[in-house]
Amino acid sequence: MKDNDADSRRRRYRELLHNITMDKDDGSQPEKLAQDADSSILPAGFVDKGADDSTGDSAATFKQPPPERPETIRTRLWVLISAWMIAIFLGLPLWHATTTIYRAPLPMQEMQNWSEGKLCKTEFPLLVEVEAPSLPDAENLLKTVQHALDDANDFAAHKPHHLRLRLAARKAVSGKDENVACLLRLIPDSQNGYNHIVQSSSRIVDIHYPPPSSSSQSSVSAGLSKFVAETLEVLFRQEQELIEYLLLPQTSNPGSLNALSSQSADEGRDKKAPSKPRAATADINRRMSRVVKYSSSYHITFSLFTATALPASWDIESAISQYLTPLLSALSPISNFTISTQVQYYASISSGVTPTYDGTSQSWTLKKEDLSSFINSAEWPLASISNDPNLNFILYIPHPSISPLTIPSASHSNSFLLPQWGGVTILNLDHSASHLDHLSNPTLKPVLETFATHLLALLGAPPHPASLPIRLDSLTRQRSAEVLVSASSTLGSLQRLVNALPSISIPTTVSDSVQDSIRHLSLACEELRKGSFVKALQMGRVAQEEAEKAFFERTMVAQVYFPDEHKLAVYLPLLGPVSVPLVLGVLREVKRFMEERKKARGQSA
Amino acid sequence: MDRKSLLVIGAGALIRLVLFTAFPSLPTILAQRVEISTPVTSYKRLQEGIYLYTHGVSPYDGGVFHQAPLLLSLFSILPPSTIITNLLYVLADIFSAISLIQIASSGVPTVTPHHVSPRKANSWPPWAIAAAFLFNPFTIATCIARPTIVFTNTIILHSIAAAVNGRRGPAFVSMAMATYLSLYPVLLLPPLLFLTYDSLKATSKPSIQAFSAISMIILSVVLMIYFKLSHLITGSWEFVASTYGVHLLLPDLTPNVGLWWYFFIEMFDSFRAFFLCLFQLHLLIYVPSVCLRLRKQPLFALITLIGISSIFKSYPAIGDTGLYLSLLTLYNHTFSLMRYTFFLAAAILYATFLGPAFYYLWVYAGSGNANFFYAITLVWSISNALIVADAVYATLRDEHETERPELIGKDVVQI
Repeated sequence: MKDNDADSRRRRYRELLHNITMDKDDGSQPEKLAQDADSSILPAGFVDKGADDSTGDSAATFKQPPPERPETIRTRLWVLISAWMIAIFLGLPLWHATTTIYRAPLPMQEMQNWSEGKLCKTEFPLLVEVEAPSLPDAENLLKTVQHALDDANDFAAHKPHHLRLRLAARKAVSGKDENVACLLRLIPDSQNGYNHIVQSSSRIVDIHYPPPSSSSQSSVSAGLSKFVAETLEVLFRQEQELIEYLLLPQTSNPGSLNALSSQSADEGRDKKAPSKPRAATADINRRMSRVVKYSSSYHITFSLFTATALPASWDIESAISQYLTPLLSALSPISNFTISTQVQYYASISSGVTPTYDGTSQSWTLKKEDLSSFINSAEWPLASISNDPNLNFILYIPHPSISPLTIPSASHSNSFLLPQWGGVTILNLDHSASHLDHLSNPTLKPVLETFATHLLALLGAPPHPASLPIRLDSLTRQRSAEVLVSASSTLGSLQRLVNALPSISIPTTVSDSVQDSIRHLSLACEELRKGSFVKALQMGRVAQEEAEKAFFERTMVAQVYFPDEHKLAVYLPLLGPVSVPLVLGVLREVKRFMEERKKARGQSA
Repeated sequence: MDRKSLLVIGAGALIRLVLFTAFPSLPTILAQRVEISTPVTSYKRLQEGIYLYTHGVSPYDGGVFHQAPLLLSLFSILPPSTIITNLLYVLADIFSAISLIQIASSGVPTVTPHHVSPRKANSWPPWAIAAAFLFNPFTIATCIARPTIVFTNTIILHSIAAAVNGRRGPAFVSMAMATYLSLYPVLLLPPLLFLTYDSLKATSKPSIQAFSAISMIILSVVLMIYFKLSHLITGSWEFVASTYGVHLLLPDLTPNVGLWWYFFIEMFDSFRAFFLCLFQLHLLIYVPSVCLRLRKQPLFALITLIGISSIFKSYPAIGDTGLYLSLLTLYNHTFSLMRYTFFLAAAILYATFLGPAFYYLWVYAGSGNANFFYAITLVWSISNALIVADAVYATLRDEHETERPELIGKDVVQI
């Protein structure tokens, strides 16, 4: 017991933060000090004697330090406690408040539903008016046709189009009403039998049918209704296929973010439409691959590149206003366009491209594989000057030495389209002729007509039917389907991203954008159901823009890759050194307290 | 005040006036030194603020001016003459020296109600302490460069002088002014409370709680008056964010001799808020500890806190260090107990000379980079921190020897 007692006191004695002094004459080597400390067994009750006793013992060769006074211990405890109080009651809350990742609430379920297409069954109700002044029982005919169409629709289960027929009101200005998809005019024609003529600049489709003989009223009616149904089918088939293709998420794009959600939809598609001809899909794929990404405004650049100094100028301004502006104004509900033009002299084609001379036709031909590298992007000033997507249309005048320059193509337009980029037309001038220095308006007419065709193809207008208004309507519907799908899938991607990365912050702007996007999506859906496609496109466009704004929020991705090891590296260099005295102080006090208790127990025993 | 004190003050004023008049370009050169002028004290920025203010534009527009509105009104009342402005700064330094003489004459550095230094006889006479302040190159350079920290220092010194004489009103009104001018003096309130309380006459001593409550009320009322006045002057509360907000949030990362600017240039954005809080808390954490440990010598606790904040505050300058070193001479009787005097003096000199050189290499010559200057500010801060630590050690040793007088003059080892 006594040994224990002495031991513990000795240990405590070493640990106390104290100054030990020795007479200088004594020779104060540390070793000696340690030996002394070890060999000295203090008498019991030393602690209670106080400072005066030990100092009074001047005869001893080694002086014992007095024990710490209670107020010293108390001060030290208070210092320690005050430091820890600040750390705990101010430091911890501040740490929590400043490093918690703010995640604004997002309507996750709703976002998922949109991306899975649960919330909006995309429909395109098309109103078809029928004008049949010479037909007595037009109502009856319509009913039959409607029936046939509905039957076809039921069979195909999930076709987005719903054709609805209506007898044209007498007063309605035909072809001008926005909501009317097309106007059928039934015209009896005794010569040609059944056929239809699509007017190229209006929505009117003339249907010619053999006039009924009075005997077979019903059979004519049956034949006519069958033909009308077929005509409508033909008119809208291409668009229908395209929209169906758009509404089913792209399976050809496995790397895309919506690969997950597309899988289930894909299975559904296989069940529903097993007999879809692959050729049609391939055709749509090919056509869609050319189409530029949808935007509310585009910038078009017309460039004249000539290999010599001639022609020096072109009548592009008047040509554009004459041949292109009508088309652009017709397109204005879908997108706006800004136009710039430029002329570049001595513009050489890319050095790798060498046309071959064809002796029989006495012309130079570009190889097909050279067409893609025809654009001399190193030297031609084609960089976009606008924030909007840029479409380039290039008119190239080859050097007289390789003129006429042709491209291997079936058509005679001598032009080709570069997918998602623009169009190129090669114009061979007769270099022996005079007035080469100026390209006149009539010369430019075929060129601009080619460019107009290219533009429609680039924007994604279906090549069929011949009527431009119907094609543009079709383009509107197709674009609205596209923005709806794109906005929904962006929302879905955002939802999966937010779920997958719990460490990213979600600012309020993101949740606002998501709310906005969802609101506009449902508005667009409603407008679609009402049949006002232009409005639907506008709403869908806002929805898409907001969804992308939310998805590409800059502050959200700042912390995506910030693993916990990095946090350690951020905190430790400063907090480590600062906390060492705090932690050690606590440990020392705890140790002192334990030993005091042990000693007290030993004394009482 | 004796003749020697007057002589010292006269000489100090003369040096400053000579520097102002003989080298007319010196104030401008020094005012551009980052070691002397910080975004929150710079004379150049003050002039910008005054210009905006006198032309009817809010001085805080443009984010250049970060100083208190009352300074604006002071300088816009003064006639726009360089001589008068210079005289004002010289007067401020003279006033500081007088305060220091008062502090030294009061004997508080050596004798407090709880503690009488055994080295009482070694302490310097008051004029020597004034000389240490007036002839300190850091103080002189600061005075010539005319940053507004000069006024803060004068007011702090005045507050201490009032406190050691037991005059509570002036002490706390001045400390409120110092807090109003540059925020960080608020950390000095607890030791100032103890200092004033200890200096009261023993006959009429209230309880410490009542005393602190009333002092705090005085301080808050005075502060509120200052704020209201500022509001009247500038017409909006914009100044709060532009002055104290800048001290707290460090939007201006202009280099200075402190530790913050480089750290927050390198900081990840998402952790910026946290480390701002951490740095401010780090300053705060010393206040109770130092006050408790040095309860017997509250003046020394106050001086130590001035020293700590001159190292760790957001926009320190050599003017802060100059104030600390001058105040430290009040405790020159314990200097013999300091262990690293030679090393520390050398380190301070090293940093003082190399700092401008490295700044030149970085900013003007382009042959160095920011790390050069930052390394020197690290050396500067470390040597200052060591001075604070060594001075605290010496004073504690002195305190210890009152308890154990037999240990005077003996070696100590820590076990």
